[in-house]
Formats: sequence, structure tokens, C-alpha cells
Amino acid sequence: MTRNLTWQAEMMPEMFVEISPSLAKAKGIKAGDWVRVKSIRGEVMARADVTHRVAPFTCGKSGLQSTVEMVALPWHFGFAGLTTGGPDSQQNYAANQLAPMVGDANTMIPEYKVFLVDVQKV
Amino acid sequence: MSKAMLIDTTRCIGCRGCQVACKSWHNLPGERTTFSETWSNPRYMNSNNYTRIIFREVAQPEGKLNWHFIKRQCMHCLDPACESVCPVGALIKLKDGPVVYDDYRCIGCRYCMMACPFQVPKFEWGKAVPLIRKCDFCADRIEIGLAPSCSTTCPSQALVFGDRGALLKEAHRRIGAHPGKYYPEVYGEKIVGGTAQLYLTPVSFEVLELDHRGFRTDLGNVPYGIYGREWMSKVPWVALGVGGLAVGLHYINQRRAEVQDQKSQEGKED
Repeated sequence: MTRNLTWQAEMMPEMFVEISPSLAKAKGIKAGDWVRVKSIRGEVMARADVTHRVAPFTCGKSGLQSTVEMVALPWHFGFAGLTTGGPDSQQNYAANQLAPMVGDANTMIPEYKVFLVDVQKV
Repeated sequence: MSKAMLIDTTRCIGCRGCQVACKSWHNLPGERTTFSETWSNPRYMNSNNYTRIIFREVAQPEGKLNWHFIKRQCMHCLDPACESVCPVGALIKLKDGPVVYDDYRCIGCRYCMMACPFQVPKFEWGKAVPLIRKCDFCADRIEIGLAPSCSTTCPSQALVFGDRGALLKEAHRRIGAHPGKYYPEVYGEKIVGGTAQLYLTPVSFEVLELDHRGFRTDLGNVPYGIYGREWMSKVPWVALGVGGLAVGLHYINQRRAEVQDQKSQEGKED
């Protein structure tokens, strides 16, 4: 619905990835640049949204701690509709291509929300 | 009693339902846009976008992040500058509060765009017969007792429609009841003589960096209609003066030519 109504498609017309300013600086990415978000299952093109809303965090046991950058992708775009998420209407900009096809057998809930990706400058 | 809308930006969740509701009620087309870094999309108000939400991320020194959503549309001033400068009376301030525009009277001079201190009236640049377009406060809805479509659709009561006096009282009650939550000034209460859109913001518009993007804070409390009428009242006299001067010069030139003609003819006779 939201991709087929012009009034809603105009508000968020393209696939984006929220990245922290520190990651953007490390990768040399400017706000609004096209970037490639890649996992071992696939890759998707997205616009970089450099924001303080996502921030790197520190995790791990004491002594083995490391700082991890977090990025955020919306699940919204696909191959059909007025906006498919980018300039090329034939290309698929859906975040589904990155997500693993695993789930919890007891609750029948798929685990699509958290996975490992790489952000590359195009 | 003049109607108004209280825009409490601390309640706004940034869903932009108001943008969709506005386009739906006014039957406006959607635009082909690209990704906007701030998420404010469409990026500008124009003849097809009467309202938009501006997103502002303000990082506080102690590490706290605030994300503000500021709705922008026509302010519907109590003494509007656009109405005062319109030479044909196409813009009218209604008794209920809306500043509305008459397509059939407009001559396309765009004085209203120049006069508006909030840069609200927009011109249909792409059309052969362009007209002025702006938010009309859903005057047709108010007339039959409905609230404007944006405030009707607002899911978090960030846009409250009602009588201006009652809303001002409510705004000051909120400021008093939650010290520190709001910037202690209602934008629109006194600025340019008062507007029908009353803004409650957590920080000032200078901090939001919007004071030069449609929410100027240096406008003063004098109604802008006074300035407009002062200038426009001089137009007939200037027009008459320039016209009279031109007629006078023409007469003098003609008379001089006549005299010269006579003189040259007199010369020939000799």
C-alpha cells in the first residue's frame, strides 16, 4: 500500500541505511551517498543516512571487548509498486535479500531482524 | 470567535499523516522525489505541498539525542501581510480564522509572496495560467463545523483545533504544568500581531536552526498588515503622480514643438 500511493511514496522514496557518523567517517561516506550493504546471502544498494540515532556499542567479556558498529535498514521496499527503492525499477532494493532464512522451530517466528552486514562505499 | 490550531511539537511522532491528509483533502498530486538526508520530504513547500514536517536532530552536550518534528504551513496571521498588499483583494481573512484565496480575482502579481514574512504563498511556476497556492486552513471544513483535515488525522493530538483564546490558555497551562519541557513562549501568540497557528516547542527556533527557514523570531509584534497597507495606500498617489508628470511633459513638449513650428514658418515668410 505505502509503495503504491503517490502521497506516501514521495515521503520515503528510496531505500536507506542508517549509519553512525563514526562509521561514515571511517568509510568516507557522505550523507545521501549510495552505498552497498552486503551480507553473505546477498547485497542491496541503499542511500546512506548519517545520523546519531544509531551509535556504536561495546560488547563482549571483559578483556575481550570490542566496539561494534550498528547500522539500521528499513524493511519496506521491493520489486513492485511506484517506488521500488531506487532509480532502477528492475533492481530489487528489499532488505530481505540480506536476512537469514532461519527461525525458531518452537514459536515459528523467523529471525529476520538481526544479522551481520558490511557497508561499502560505491 | 477566531479559530486556531495548537501545534505541540513535543507530542508529534513524525508520522506525516498530516501531509497525506492535506493532499487527500485538497486532491493534490504526489511528487517524484529522492531520498532526503533529514527525512523531510518533499523538501520544499510549493504549489502542490501546503504543509510539511521538518525533522531536526539536536544532540545535547550530555549525550542525549532529541529528534524534533516541526510542522510547517501557512500561519494564518490575524492581520495578514498578504491580504494587506493584495491589490485586487484576492486574499481574504475570514471571520473564523483562515486566510483564503480567490482564484478568479488573482492577477498573478505575487505581491503576497514578497510580503509574507514566513514565505508561505507559492506560485504555480509550471502552469500556463499560474495562480497562488497555500494552506487554506481547510476553510470549507471549518465552515461546516469540522476541524482541518491535518488535525483530524493527527494520531497523537499534536495538532489541536479550537478557539484561539482557549488554546492559548491551554498552551500556557502546559508550559506552567511541565517546567523545563517547553520553551516558555508560544510562537504565534504575539509575533506579527498574532497568528492562528500556535507552536509549543521544547527549545527555541534558533536552537532548531529554523529561525531563517520559515520561523523567523526577529519579526516583532507589530501586525504586518499595517506595513502592507501603509505601502499599498501610496500606490494610487504614486501612479497618479507619475502619470500626471508624463502627461505634463507630453503637453510641454507638444507646446514647444508648436511654438517652434510657428517660429520656423514666421521665418519663411520673411
